[in-house]
Amino acid sequence: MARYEIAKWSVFLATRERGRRVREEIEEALTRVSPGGSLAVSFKGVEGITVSFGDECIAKLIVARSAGDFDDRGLVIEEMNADVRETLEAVLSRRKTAAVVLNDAGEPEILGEPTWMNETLAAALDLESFRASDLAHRLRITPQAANNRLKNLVASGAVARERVVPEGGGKEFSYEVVVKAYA
Amino acid sequence: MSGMTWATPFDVAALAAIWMRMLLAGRPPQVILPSDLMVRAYLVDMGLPNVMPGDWGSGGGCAVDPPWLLLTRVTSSDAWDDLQSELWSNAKAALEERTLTRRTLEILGELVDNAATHGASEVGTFVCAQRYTGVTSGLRPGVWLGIADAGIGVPNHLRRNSKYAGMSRDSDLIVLARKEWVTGTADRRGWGLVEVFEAAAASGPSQVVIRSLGGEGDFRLQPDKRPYVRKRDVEPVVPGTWIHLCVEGA
Repeated sequence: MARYEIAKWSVFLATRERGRRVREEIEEALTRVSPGGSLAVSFKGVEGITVSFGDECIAKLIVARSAGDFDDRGLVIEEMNADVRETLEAVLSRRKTAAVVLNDAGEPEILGEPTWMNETLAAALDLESFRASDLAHRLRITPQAANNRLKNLVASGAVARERVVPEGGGKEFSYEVVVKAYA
Repeated sequence: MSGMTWATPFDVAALAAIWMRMLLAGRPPQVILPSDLMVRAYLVDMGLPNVMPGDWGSGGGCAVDPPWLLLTRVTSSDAWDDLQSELWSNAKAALEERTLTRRTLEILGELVDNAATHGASEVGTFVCAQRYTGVTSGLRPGVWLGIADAGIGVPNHLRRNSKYAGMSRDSDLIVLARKEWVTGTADRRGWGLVEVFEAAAASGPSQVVIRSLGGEGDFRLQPDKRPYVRKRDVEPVVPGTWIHLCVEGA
């Protein structure tokens, strides 16, 4: 898995301008990841970040993913200390969005909102490779609700999606879990 | 400055911003140094002579606790971020406590970012900070920060949001500035000052004074309590925003 180290910039990251520059580098790193692969963004060595940096760098990255940017490859945030994690959770929650992070045990979990994302992530981890109808069946929700949840899950970085043509025609997406701990 | 008997990081930053603004306008003012030797020495300790030349004498050696952030002119957000590794080390050594160090750098980061973007001008942003001991004043010890720019000012910046364009009293807008999303930008920014107040209050009893154009807001903060706010109209002497922030308990 490719890795991007935030700490190469500094132990503390303060401004929106720096957040934008780091985000652009992460996006560049994502372009070098093959479809179906993943990029780990590591905060190892970072002592703290401001809300403005976190919003500009990570939250906007997730928002762009929900609009379709790099949705065929994964993104996972890892090695945050408690302070960085708290700040990122605040910025993601304020934008009503979520990112997938690796906890201390190396397991993927959802940081931010909405809270049902963890249940959806757990189902996706079980399914590994699936379609929206599979998730709907697993969670006993409507296909439309499954599609809505998957849009958030793709944005979070946990799964990648690929457009496929089903036998009966039309268009559909297949989904694959791409976070590191599972791969 | 001849009559000065007391100075804080706020005064140091504001003096530097005034000086630089007039210098860049081609009208450098005559500097009359404080006759009070302790005040003069304090200004030397804080680094004012590096910006404002003058016959400061040998000065210095006055501050009980030397500043961990000497008066610094910040000309861009990026320039501020470039200082962070050094600043983290200096602040942590001076404040001796990791959480306070983090919150202080969060506060400074948001305030300098605001000043360098919303309050941008060729003057730049002046910032300095010290751990205040209170041994010569009896005031409670804490972290004292001063930040000053010469930009359009908080009230005029908020008036760009059509919702507040009709508000005439600057002090009303300064009080409003601590609320989220007041700038009304499309990308839902506007959390910076909210975070400043939250981080300051979480650190302990704190005071934030924002003076900009013709208004001043004096905010007294306590953990888990609503802030006490006092606002007043002031003579609009110079453009820009000056901020004093004091977090007690360091």
